[in-house]
Amino acid sequence: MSYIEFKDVNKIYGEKESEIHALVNTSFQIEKSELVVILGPSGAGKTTALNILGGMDNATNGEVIIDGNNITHYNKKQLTRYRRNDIGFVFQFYNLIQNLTALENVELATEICKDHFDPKEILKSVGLENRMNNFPSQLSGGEQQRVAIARAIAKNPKILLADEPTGALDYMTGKQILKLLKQIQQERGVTVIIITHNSAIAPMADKVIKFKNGQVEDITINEKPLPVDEIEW
Amino acid sequence: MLVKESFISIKKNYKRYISLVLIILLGVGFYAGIKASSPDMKDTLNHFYQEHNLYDFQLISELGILEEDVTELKNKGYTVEAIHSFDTIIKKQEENAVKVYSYDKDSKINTLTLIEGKLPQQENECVIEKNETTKDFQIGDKLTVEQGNLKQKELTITGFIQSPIYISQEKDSTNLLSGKIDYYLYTPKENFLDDYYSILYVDLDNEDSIFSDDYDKKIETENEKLQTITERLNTSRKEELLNPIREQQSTLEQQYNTVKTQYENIKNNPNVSDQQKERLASTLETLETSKAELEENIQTIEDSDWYILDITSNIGVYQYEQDTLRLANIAQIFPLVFFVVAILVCLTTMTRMVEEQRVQIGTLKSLGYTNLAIMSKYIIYALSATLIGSIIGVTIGFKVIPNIIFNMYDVAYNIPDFQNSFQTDLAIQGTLIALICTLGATIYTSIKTLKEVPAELLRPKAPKSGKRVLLERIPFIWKRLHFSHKVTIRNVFRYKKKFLMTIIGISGSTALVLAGFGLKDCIERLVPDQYENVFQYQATVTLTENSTTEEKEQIINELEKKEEITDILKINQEGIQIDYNDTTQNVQVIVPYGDIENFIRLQNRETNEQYHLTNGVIISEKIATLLDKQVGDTISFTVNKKDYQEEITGITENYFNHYFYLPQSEENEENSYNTLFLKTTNLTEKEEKDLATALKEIPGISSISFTSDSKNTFDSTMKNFSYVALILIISAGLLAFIVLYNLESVNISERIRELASIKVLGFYDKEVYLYTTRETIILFVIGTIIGLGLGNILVYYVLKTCEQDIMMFNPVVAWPSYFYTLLIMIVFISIVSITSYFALKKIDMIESLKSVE
Repeated sequence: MSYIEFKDVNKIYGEKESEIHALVNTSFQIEKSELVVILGPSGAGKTTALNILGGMDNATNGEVIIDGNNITHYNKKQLTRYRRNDIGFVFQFYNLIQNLTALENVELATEICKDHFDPKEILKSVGLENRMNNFPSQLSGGEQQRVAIARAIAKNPKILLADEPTGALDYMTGKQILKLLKQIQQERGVTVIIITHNSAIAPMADKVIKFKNGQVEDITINEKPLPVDEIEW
Repeated sequence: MLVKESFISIKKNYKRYISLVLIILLGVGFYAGIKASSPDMKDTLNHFYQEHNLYDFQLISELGILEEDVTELKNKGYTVEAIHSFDTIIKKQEENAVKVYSYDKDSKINTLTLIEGKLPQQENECVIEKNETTKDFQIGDKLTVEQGNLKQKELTITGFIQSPIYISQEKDSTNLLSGKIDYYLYTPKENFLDDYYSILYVDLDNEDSIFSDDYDKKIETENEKLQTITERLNTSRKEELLNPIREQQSTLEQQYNTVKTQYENIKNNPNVSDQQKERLASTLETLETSKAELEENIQTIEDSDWYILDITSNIGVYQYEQDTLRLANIAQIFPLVFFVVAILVCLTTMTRMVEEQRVQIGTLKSLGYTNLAIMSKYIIYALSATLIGSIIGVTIGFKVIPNIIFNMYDVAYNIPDFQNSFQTDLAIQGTLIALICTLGATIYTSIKTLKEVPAELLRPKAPKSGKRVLLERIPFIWKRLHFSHKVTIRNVFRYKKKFLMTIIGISGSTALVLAGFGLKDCIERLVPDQYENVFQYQATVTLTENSTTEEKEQIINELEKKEEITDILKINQEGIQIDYNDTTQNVQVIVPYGDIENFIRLQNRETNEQYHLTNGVIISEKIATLLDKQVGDTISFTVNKKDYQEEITGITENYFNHYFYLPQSEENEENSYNTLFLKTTNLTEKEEKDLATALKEIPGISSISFTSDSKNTFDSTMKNFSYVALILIISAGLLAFIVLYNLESVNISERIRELASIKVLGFYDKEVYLYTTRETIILFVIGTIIGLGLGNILVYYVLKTCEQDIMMFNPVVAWPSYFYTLLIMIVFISIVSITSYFALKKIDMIESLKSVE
């Protein structure tokens, strides 16, 4: 059995007549320590998949199994616990708390989980040892995203979910962030899932899952993923 | 299109809309209601004045008013009526000081209100005032009038009436008995033998309000005219009276001179016998006395004057006007606090709403809508909320608040038919202020937002950047704080404007609630403080005037025999008048013949320092305040034509009436006491009554009264007063609730993205709740503490403006009130917290993904 199993998952929003099928019989697997890119235009269902994987929403039916735990029918509290202990989130717009310093933003996350890394060490590892006591508004976009990544991995999560992590960044900075994500996957063995509409990113992944109209259109496995430096868009 | 949009947004945010309407409703309603009370009360008196055709001037002549005076005034075009009046003592069960008036069935001025029975027809009939003193009198009872020049001295009561010249319980002073008129009586004018009148009433043809400036002017001109007329009448009358006396004087002078010359001639003549000399000397002496008497007579006549008093110097009308002024004073400050709090909350709400919809504004702007068109949506939202709130507010406010307030004052006055009107000017005023504030806030924030270019607007406003707070510079404390507490403290101080608004909102409403309770405390405390703590005796016995020492000793002997009476204090009590500003204050001067400390507690209210009556004078606190006297100052006053100039040795706690306490001096003869204070065992009301009946049997006792009686009458007045406090508590409580609710909901909606993010991070609902609530609690604690302080000041201010000269409130808020206020606030914040818990639970985590930065 794979580390992450998505089996015939359906997600239906709304009531009878105005039903929207966001996901239709979606299935895929992700192995432990893989770097996966979920690709697709907006409205393809990738964000819905992310929501379900990230424990922010339940599937309407089908099965979602993470590391042997079936989370399909988790209640709110179980989902919260799942998010808290197993998931690290990186948002497109960083979502840092403006009123907390970089260090404190990381601490905010480690505060609530038992098995976490030292926030300072983590910030050092993302190259922010000198910016720890700065507030988000004093940091550049790339630096802010690093803080967000540090916040996500400091929790020592099983899965790192990144939603358009480069979406708000310029080309160079975006590349550096992708490098960081790759480095984390390689050095720490964290399963990294990047959701994006930018197909240029795909070559860096171990596995690429393409979404279209709420369905998985294609799954490609890169035997030799490219280093980030070699990809261009 | 945009109009439709604003209705949709009302529907979508109906909770916010309703709370906006409610705040406006409370603010405007309270403002209009309180402000309307004073004019309504004035209207009521005016209505009464017109209804009963109350006099405009009351004329009194020391020489008596003659028929020709009346005719003269009538000839000058005045509507006048002259009546007979005198004071007398009437004994029925006990002695009472009574004012007797003549009743004219054709009278048009000061028409009487018949309460029970019928008006007098025969000379031997009368109607009397219905009040505390006469409550046990029955129709058919007979009253005997000893003094005065009446045909029939035994009068049968045919009914009870209320005279419009006495609109309050307060009546004129007299030199009889206790110095106050107990009740008044009307008997037909045919029953009077005097050929002169005592009072002449003038009724002007007046449609103006007696509180208006026009009326004041009218009174002034008429007063001058009347002055001229009466002066002339007075001079001619004086001449008339003086001419015969002067003739008499000159005859007397001649006689005296003749006798004197005779006496001078024979004085040294040894031939005239001593006997003859003596006879002549005594004749001379008699003539001298007559001469002096005549001179005194002439002097009195020459000094005689007419007095012209207008309606505003009527004791009841004066008091009533003072009360309406006090009420107007309260109406200055209270609704203001209310309004400020309400408006601030509206401001926060509207600001929030505009900021929340930046993206939408940006979209509309990029579509080419004009600023005004976009703004109109928010203006419609705020305008409709303000108008709805104001209309409901003034409708309820005008109806409810003045009525309750009038009912409370009505206990002290006999004015029926409360004139409760819808005061358009006040309604417009309140609505306008509310409109200016809410629309001002709306327009201000919309313009600020609209100034930005659409592209900027499509992105949400950059959140305010984080800042270090002062506390962080003190690492000693900061390091010890838990991480989540640090966050809280930073957040509290991040938004200065919000911080201030919240603190003002919470402290304002806390202050109002506390003020409500505090007023209730101070009002309810007055009676027990005065009649249990300060006055520790249970009954007062007044002795008949001119009792001899033996008679008094006899009475005391009798009293000592009663088992119920445990202690007796002999005192001399005299009523005096002290001038203060334009008014005179009635002060009771008490000289104890024994140890007063067991009967009246003489001590400083604040320091509890005990005073001993050994020298100087101890005066009660309120009169000291009025006269601005301190311990060590000297005070002059006159008791029974004897002038005193005494050093003030103490200012004693006292809440009702004014008292001077003088130690017994050598001049006070042993027997000059006229009143006895009694301490009794614990008696029920019935036992007190029985004792009173038994004591009245003893000859020489004029009256007996129990402190419990005054306590009861006073208590009921004060109870009504408490209702006002209750209105305050309820409306302030409501306001507090809405304020808290609004602030909390704004707080959540403002930070929805931040909260969604920490939810994604895996914060449990409870943790998310604590994350925001900790801040609210800190603001709540700060706001409440400030509010308690402000409430205290508010209580002090309000009590000082509304207390009458005759009374004093102890403006100290009792501990339970702080407790209740806190309790109410805590209950409200808890309810608000619980609702916010569910609101937080509902926050969609997806918010954290979709928003743009």
